[in-house]
Amino acid sequence: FQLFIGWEGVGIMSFLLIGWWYGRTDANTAALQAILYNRIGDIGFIMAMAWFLFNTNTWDLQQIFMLDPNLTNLPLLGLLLAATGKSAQFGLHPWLPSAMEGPTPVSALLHSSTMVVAGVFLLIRFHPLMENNKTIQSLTLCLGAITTLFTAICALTQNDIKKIIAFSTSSQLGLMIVTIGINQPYLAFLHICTHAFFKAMLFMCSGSIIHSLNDEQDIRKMGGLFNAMPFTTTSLIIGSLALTGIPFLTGFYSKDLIIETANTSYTNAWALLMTLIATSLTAVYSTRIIFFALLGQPRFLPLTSINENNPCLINSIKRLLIGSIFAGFFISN
Amino acid sequence: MLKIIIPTIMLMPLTWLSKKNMIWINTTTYSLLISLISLSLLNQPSNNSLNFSLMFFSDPLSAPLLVLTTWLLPLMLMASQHHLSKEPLIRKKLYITMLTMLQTFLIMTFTATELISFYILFEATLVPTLIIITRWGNQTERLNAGLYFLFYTLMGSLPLLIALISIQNLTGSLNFLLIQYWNQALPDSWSNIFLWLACMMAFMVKMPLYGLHLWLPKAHVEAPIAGSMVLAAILLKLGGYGMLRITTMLNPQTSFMAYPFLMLSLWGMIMTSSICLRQTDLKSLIAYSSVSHMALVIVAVLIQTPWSYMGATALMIAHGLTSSMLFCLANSNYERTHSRTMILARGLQTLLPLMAAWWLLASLTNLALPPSINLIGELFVVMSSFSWSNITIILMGANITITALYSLYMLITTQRGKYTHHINSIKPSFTRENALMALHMTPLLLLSLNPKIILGFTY
Repeated sequence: FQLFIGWEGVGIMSFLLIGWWYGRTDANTAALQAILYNRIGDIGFIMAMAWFLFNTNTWDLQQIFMLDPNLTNLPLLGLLLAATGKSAQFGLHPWLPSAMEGPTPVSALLHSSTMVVAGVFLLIRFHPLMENNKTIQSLTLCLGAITTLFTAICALTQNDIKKIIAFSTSSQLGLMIVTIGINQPYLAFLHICTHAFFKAMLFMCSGSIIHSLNDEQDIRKMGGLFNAMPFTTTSLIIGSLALTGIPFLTGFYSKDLIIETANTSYTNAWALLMTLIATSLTAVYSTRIIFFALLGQPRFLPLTSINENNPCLINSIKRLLIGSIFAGFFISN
Repeated sequence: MLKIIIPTIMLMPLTWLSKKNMIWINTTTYSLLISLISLSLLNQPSNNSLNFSLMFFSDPLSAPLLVLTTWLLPLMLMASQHHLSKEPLIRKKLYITMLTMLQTFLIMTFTATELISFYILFEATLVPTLIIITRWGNQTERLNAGLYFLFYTLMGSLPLLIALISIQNLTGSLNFLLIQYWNQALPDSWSNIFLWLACMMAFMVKMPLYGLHLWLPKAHVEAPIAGSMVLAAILLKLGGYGMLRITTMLNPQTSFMAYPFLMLSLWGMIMTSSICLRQTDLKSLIAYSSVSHMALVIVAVLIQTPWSYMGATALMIAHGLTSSMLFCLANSNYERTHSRTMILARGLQTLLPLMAAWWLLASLTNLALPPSINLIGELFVVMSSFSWSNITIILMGANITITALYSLYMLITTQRGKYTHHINSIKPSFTRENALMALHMTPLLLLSLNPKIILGFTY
């Protein structure tokens, strides 16, 4: 029950924060869209709660795991629907790119690291039940694989920097769901923690870029920031490298382990193939961001006030940067 | 119980004898004091009801509804101050007298022991409400609205009278406390089927059930603010309360008689929620949302499980407070723009941020956000309907989604977006209005800390 309170609570907070600039119509419709998809997921959650109440007489997780009911198809389907809604998996995904109407710190917090992983977290919490149910595991696996490939392909064609990062979040979430599907909830949790660092940092860097270019979000209009904003450039490159899982940065510890486990486990070959393609696409769209935003000649208007002087911004990016590099090492050892 | 009824009756001489500048102050203060007395009734020590006399009693089901009724009178008086400010003194006093009479009848209805006295008072509540709607409503359609309201309810409740008289003949007494002990299963025969129908139809119309709900949008929209508040908050709950009382006598036929009504309620819930999405009239939207929530209560009562009864009572109280608050908010819009169209008053968050906060809270509780009691009621009802039949969860889930959508749609249309240029001459929020919203919201939020009080007699 308490989980449900928090679950709904973040949904509403998401609504309020996406619609922060409430004078803007697009923001309001995006907020409403977020709530719609979230609510559809909540039906699944409520269905699971109802099933648990009447078959195991409790909402308490410990008791449910001790009782270990058979035939858990229905509630696990409900939980999967809830995770699909909250974590923007394939059927219920459009709200996440639209949610980029909100301010950048909102995107950094909610929609990259903490809230969207609520769905994955729910599935991780229920993993003792999922271990026993092969159907649900295959379903999660396929769902995650479809999500990660689809959103990675979408990310390739986007021109708005925040939307690319949003789709990349969605793709990574799909990867986490795949990890749960191959029965590795602990790895999924590790990926949640590490992904939070570099994704939040990527969002903050993009926020810094957008702000200095006077609210310009289209990457076709950016360029040559390599010399103008060195600190942001560094963090962006390191973040992208961590995202793709370059050895010894943070992403490596979780992402590489996931890929190794997927390769060596007895699992659905099609899902595996899709996941591998999606992972390689991660490198592609990250390079695309770096190429368009940082390298080349400037394509924005000449008279801009590019600066990196704001200490609030710089300090937060600095800390996330240190985390991106070292956190993986510290967590795994 | 007389401690509450006699002061309420005495409010009437109070209004007629007060000086011109003291009527509102006097009546509001004294009605607040009466509501504080009624709070003491919430202390229910035993599982049985608290029996005060031959005629009145209070048990865990009626006590919260009673407190809600008495709490709402000062709020109604506060809300009506503005639109009555231009009327002559006699009419103001008449209005307050009508409200007080309605209040007296409502209190006596909720605490009645004998079912016949319950019926008489149930009908009696119609008269002051009719007068309030038709005399002080704002558009010409109010006469039509009053007609619909009166005749729908009368048509539904006349069979109830016949049924109650026949039960009195059969069992010798309609005292509610005694019926609990004398109850026998009804044999299955045609006349008993009609008996069941006769008993339930009155409350179905009052609730209202989806097919019989036409009176509700008309009455709510045309009524003045106090009328809308009391209609939404209390009078609809009379139907629920009556159903909860009568179904104890009507077993075992309810198990198969209830099917058509359950289907109508489940489907009607979704239909009315969907209508809400396309409304342009603010009060009409809130009225249809009331129908939707009450349909949930009907489903809960007809399923007849302990959990569903808990959900029904919690939902009744929660919905009473929420709907009343939404009507007050809609009224504050109406008083400023003199129109109920939603899009005429948008972008209010820029101009009246505190009111926007109240709008936000009201919308959030309307869509049943945890941990409010709205959620507890809805959740219990959804759980019990899941146990009754697994498939109902799909319909309930659809309803929850659509409820969230229209509540937030209402919020966005009135608060957000760019404000219209003709709106920058509206008066800022009065303290009275802010106090009104706060007094609505505070019980709602406090109850979410301890919902045991409103969970009714199956807790």
